[in-house]
Amino acid sequence: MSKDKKKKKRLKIVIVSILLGLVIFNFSTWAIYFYMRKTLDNEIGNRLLNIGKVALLKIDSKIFTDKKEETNIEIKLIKNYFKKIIATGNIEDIYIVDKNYNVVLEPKDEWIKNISHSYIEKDKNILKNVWIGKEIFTEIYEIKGSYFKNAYLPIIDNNTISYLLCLEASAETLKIVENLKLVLFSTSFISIFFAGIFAFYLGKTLQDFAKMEEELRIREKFALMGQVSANVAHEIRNPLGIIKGAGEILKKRYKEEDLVQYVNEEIERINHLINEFLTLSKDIVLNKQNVDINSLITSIINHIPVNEKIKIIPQLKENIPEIEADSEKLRQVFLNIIINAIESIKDKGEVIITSCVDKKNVIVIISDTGAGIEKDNIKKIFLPFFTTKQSGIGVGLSTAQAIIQAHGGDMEVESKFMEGSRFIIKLPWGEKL
Amino acid sequence: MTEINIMIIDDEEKMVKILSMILQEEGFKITGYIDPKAALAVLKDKFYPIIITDLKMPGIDGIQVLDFVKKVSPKSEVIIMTAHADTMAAVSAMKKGAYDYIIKPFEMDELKIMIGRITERNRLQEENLSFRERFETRVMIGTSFIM
Repeated sequence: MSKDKKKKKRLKIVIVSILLGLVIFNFSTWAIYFYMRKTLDNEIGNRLLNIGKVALLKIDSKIFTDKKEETNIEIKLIKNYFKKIIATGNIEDIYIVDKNYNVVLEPKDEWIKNISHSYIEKDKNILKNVWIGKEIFTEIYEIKGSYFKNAYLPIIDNNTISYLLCLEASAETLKIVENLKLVLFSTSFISIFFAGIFAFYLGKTLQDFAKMEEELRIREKFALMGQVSANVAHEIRNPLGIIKGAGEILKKRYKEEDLVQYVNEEIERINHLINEFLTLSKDIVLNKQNVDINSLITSIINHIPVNEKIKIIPQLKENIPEIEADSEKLRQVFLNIIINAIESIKDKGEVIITSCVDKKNVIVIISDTGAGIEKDNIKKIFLPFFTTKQSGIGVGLSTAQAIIQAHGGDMEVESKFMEGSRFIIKLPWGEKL
Repeated sequence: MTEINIMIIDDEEKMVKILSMILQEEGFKITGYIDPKAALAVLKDKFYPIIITDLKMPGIDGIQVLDFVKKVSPKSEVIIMTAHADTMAAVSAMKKGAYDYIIKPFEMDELKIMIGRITERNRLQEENLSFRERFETRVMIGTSFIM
């Protein structure tokens, strides 16, 4: 027992560690992804800003207002400088815009006025910060499968800002990271999916394990009980035999027939009790043959004495397959439940016996309009030695359940107090037991 | 009429006593043993037509008694008494040649009926035998007459 518990505990620890490991793995890979992305983002952004800062040193904003000869030369120089920067491959584009976001200077030879770059439109919200003197870079964004990043720097002239320097860089390196994200996403998904399945089945196995353990425990208990009760029965029946014999002699010699009758009756009572006890603790040995449930039910009903107040109504479906079963034991089960049903009816009422079949089982339902079972007692009725009757020791239903279970079947009860009870018996068909 | 000898073997002394009392009243001659070993020693030399033995006894059990009886005295009938829950042992005893078995606590009448059946059968067999003997003698005498 304790060995099993240890095993179970170990198994639990293994499951928890696997799940925990999985969570940590997923968490850390995602953390790595976000860290890499962030680093890459900053790295590209800072590079852009640095390039921008160097470019700013070469730009005097007066060149846009003064229309002198040397200004034109200066503009040409700046344009060349911009072209050089682009040629280094570090950035895709560099240009200057005015307050209305019109491009006032770009490295192209022709002046293309009043054309605003579409991504500036997109970035207008954060550009507010640039107009108050901050240097910013945008998040990486995607256009048609390629990644870009922009940086904006204010061109400050006499403490006023009339122009912005705009830089655009390709952020293709992010593609690798994004691919990594895809891999991460699928691995997380797959690992969580399999972990789920794993946990589900392991949980189920654990549950089965617990159930099996419980069944084994009960079986062990019953086996022990069987052995003990067999021995106890032997020890009790021996003295009973002596008492009975002595009683017979007393009857003959002293003619105390009544008293000896009492003795005999009580001996019988004890003996009956022992027999009940023994049937409960004995292993159920099935003597199987092909059984037609409907004819079995009909024959049981025919043997029950007719009572005008209590109707017994069979509702038997046709074409129910034969099952391989011990007909005598099943008779005992059905009879037991039917008699219980009849006894639960105080005055008038009916007992309905239904038979039907589903994919797996032949189902017999015995319902009555009797007293029903109190809610607290429903769970207990299949326990041995539980009874609400004056006579009887409460082994009928537990034996019945054991018989049905020995057939690989199942027995359930539904009941409402003062309204009646329904016993549902399922017996598997179509499989060799 | 000769008395019929019955041997009772049971490790419960009171059982032996009570059975003896009841069966003696019925006119049987009873020899009782609480020790099966001692009983077997006696059975070697003396014939008992009926032996009633308990099944579960310390040392030698009812089945061993049965085996022994069937070996040394095949004509004896053995009735097995059992207080044990498992009637399988009693049934297997019957397969080995026991006349019948009876489960404690039992009605004395049940036992009496069993004994009655055995004695009646033995009586009939004896009668049959003696008739045959007489018949054969007569036939022999008859033939000698013809001769």
